[in-house]
Amino acid sequence: MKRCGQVSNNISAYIDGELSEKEREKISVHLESCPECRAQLESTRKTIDKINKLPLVGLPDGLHNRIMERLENSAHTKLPDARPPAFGSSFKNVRRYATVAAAIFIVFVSLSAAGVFLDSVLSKNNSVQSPMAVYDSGAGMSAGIHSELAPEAMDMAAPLEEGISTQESYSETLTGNSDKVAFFAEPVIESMESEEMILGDAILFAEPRAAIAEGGNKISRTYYITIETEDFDQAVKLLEEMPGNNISSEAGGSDYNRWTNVRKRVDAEYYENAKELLQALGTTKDAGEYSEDLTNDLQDIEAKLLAKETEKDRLNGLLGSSKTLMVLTQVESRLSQVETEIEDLKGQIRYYNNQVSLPMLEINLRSFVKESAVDRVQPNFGTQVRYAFYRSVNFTLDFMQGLLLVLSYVGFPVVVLLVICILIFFIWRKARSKRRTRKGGGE
Amino acid sequence: MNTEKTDAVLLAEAIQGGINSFEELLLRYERLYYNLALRMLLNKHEAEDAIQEACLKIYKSLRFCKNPEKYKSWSCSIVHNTCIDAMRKRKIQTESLDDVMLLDSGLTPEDEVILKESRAEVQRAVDLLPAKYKSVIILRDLQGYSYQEISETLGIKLGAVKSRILRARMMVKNNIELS
Repeated sequence: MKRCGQVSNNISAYIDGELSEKEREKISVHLESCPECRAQLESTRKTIDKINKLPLVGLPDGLHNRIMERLENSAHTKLPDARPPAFGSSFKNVRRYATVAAAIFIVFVSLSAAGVFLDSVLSKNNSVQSPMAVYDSGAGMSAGIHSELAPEAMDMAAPLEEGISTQESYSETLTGNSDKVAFFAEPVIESMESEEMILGDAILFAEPRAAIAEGGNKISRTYYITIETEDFDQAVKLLEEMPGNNISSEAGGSDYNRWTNVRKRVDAEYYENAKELLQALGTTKDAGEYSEDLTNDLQDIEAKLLAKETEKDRLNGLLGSSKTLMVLTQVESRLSQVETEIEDLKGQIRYYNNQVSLPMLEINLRSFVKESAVDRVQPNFGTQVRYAFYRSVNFTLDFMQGLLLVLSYVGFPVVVLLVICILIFFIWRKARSKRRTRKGGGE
Repeated sequence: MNTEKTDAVLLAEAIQGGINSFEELLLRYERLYYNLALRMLLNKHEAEDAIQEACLKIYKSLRFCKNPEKYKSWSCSIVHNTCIDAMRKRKIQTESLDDVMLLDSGLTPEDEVILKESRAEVQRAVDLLPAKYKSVIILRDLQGYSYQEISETLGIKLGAVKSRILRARMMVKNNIELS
């Protein structure tokens, strides 16, 4: 036996004959015993009857013709075989995506244009610097600690090195057109001044020649340079004519890409001139200097030499006063041993002194291919745009990253708030539409 | 005529033969479309615009009618959706009485007389229904659709059809009683 609620829920479907046989039977049984439900059935039937009697309105005059006309005009009397109607509906989306894509494209293009403009302005200020230099410079930077400093900064730092007497290693790497300098340092310094020498991120060290002037330190220097030159033969000739001793030299390469490596020792007084001369040979691609303070080593050796010479004097004295043959031979052999050691030490001193008075030059000379030279000095517009585009992409990525970081640190509550606001908005909209529907129903 | 072609045959011909074959299908159902649109939109001009647009849509997507036997409910669903779109576009809710008044609906005097004679009350009671209840009432009680057909036309579940019809009839009953 069904309950009245269930019956009234199914009364419409019962009248329409849309119920299963089983349900229909159950409702029939209930209706027989329930006058209320029977009344409901009757009233519903009456309502349906009333609605059924509503007339169907005839088609207005000419509507059929207007429909046909519109079909003929719009459809071009052909069925859209090739084009599914979905295209029309998805066109809105396509247009939306196209707008977004266009906006992104415009942003990139304007960033690129700004990049090109900035490049042209910068290259007017500094005509030697090519846009490529920015990308080339990365290779030259091998240092763990590096800094962008103008050459003047090195001179400014020079007065700080007074009194440094410990061993130090100093290297500078010149890249591009000598506007980027990388410093690499291994500080083994105990003096107070060392702390003052930390400028920014860079740890600057004394220029070796200043040290020589101040404390008479013995410093050996090696200067290395990579040069690209258009006139390779002339450069090689000039290199050969340069005063100094060739330690080694090698050469190779094809007609268009020749190279030569030369190692040379020059007089210490000529060293600075030689550096300038080498830089004048062509474009400096890479350059730097190693230096080593040999003062301590030399002092060690000199102290040893002094000790040995004192021993030699004592042995000579013994030789004069020795009585027995056995003592004589022993002293004799010891003496010759000491003399050999003295010679050895003197040789070492000579070697160190040579290193100090004859700095080493390591020259890597390369021929310069003209086509690429043109590219390098004045890249064409396409290349400029390309690099400007790369930069704008990098810039955008950096910006996004920054934005994300800011959001993750500061903006988390903001994001949460935003999400809540959106949720509230949707709930409110839904509630509003529900209210309207109800009003529309006239309930 | 006993030799009347079925919808499926006419549909196949329309796809092959173009606009002239389609006219036959159109003649068969345009009155039904119009009544549906008129009762949904309650405005003659809007109903006519909606019909024209819907017929164009139907014609353009004839090839995509998946079940030719159910052309009637398929095409009616297009008309119904076009009417819903039109209602959304005008943004005027049907609860506005001015809209509901039959005198303002732009019907011809003959139509009005007929409507007045045949229980204007019932008419108004149906017109007052919200769109989703109105469509089921029109399809069920005026066009005689089965629940299954309504479910296919409106794209809703059979259970929803059942409950909507029930609620719609109760609303109509209440509306008649109120007036």
